[in-house]
Amino acid sequence: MTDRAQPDVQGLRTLLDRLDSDLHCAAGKYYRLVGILTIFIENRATSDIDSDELARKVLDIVAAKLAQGEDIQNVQAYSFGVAKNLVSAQTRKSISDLLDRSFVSGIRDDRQANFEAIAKELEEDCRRKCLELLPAERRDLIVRYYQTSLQSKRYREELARELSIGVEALCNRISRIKSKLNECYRRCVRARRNNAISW
Amino acid sequence: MNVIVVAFAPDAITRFHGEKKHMFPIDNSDVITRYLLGDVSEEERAWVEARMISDEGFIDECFQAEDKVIDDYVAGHLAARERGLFETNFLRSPRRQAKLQTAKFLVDYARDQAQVQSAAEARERSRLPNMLASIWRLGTGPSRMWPAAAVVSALILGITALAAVAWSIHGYRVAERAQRQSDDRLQQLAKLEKALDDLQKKQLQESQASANQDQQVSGRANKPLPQTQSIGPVATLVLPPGGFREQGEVVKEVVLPPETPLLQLKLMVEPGLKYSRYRVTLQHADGETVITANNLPMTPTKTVQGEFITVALPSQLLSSGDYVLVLAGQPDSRKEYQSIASYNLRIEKTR
Repeated sequence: MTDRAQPDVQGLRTLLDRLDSDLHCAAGKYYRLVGILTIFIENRATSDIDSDELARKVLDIVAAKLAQGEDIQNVQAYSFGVAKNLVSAQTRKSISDLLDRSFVSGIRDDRQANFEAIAKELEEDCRRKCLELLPAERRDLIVRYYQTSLQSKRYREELARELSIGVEALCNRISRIKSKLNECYRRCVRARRNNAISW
Repeated sequence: MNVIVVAFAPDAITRFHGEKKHMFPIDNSDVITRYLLGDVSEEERAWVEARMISDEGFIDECFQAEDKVIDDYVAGHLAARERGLFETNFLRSPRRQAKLQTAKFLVDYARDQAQVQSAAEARERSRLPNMLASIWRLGTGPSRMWPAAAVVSALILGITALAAVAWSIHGYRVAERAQRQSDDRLQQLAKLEKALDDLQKKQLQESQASANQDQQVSGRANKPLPQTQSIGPVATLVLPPGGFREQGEVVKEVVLPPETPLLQLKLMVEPGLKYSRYRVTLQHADGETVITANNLPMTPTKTVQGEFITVALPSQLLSSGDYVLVLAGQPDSRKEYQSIASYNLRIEKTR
């Protein structure tokens, strides 16, 4: 996980103002920019990087620059530039970490293996619970989507035709369901890990 | 899928598509997918990233392409080269690894449920012929209860047809629930099957007893109507038409324990009733319809107590409460159903 300092509140406000004069729209654009940067970072990175975290760090830096009065003409383009620099730095750091890890990997004990097994079980349990928590209609659709995917390469087209909707509409629905699932999953894992720590 | 026309510098076009140095349509999803897999030239990468900044809709296409490539990977639809790129480049991101784990979980879940569904359907298919054979034996046996058998078979086929329709409408419902329902239905079918066997034996005994009684007690036509005749695998209730109730007759009541999967109703009808088809509608006392069975080819049975039409209802359809059963007849297939009579009954289901 990348270290991320507390964002500069004044800078964040300035950044949001630059994205949109309406605060609600600005927040939407902020998260959208996080998404774009995430994909950008993942494409540029050559090692394991928490892209979401790094994307937020990029925007924290941009916000701080704005608060310092830096003249930024195009926030998006500037953000991409910052992201590119951060990815390079992170890649260098990752190579050094990798060397360290290869050194200590030999002394990894059984407790670590047990912890990983428990974590995997916990994640699986969360996925199952989150699926069960979905409204029946959505759960049915996503299960059917994956069942169809096992039968045909053109599963999206076939399922869309069966449901009398467009492929794009189907993909949007599936995407929304997955977002809900992932959101629930993240919350569940976080909560369970917090409990596990007290145990 | 959006198809757009873009112009590149000549060298970029050469790198995109060999020697074709002219404007050409680019399929966004193809370039995006290759971008995500790390399989693009510098020009293509610059183009995609420029579009990310400038085109609002483009980023949505990127997210969808990301989901698509993950789903195609877990379903085994990626070509070998793409799989390799997916594993070495795409999966470097922990966020994408998490998305992949979710997709894998969903595919495994969907696969398991499909297997469970098909196994349950196979079991059900193998049981249905036995059920139908049982009904057939009932209808062709020495008893005179073939109308009851016909009604029971019509109801069972009706329920099966309803279940099939429901199955197709909700075909993609979560398989876990389908499994549960399927198991319940199998249990109910098993109970029903047993009930039919018992009914067959009982009809045989009754028809023999009735034949003896007809010979021994001629002239005793005004025997009082029996109430609930038996509680066992099949509960039988004799019902006069609703009009009798107005004359002070109490509502006929039947207690249905869980081990009684079938309620047989003997509906008293006017002598000489003759319709080509009948319709039976069971309603709650508030008028809400529980079930309707059409096109029933029934024939009233003549006994010393009067003439009866016998219908059988699976207990699973019933809950405790007051019901009205409406009997209608169709003189011939071209005419409307005509109301014959309605019957009031009260059901108490025990646990």
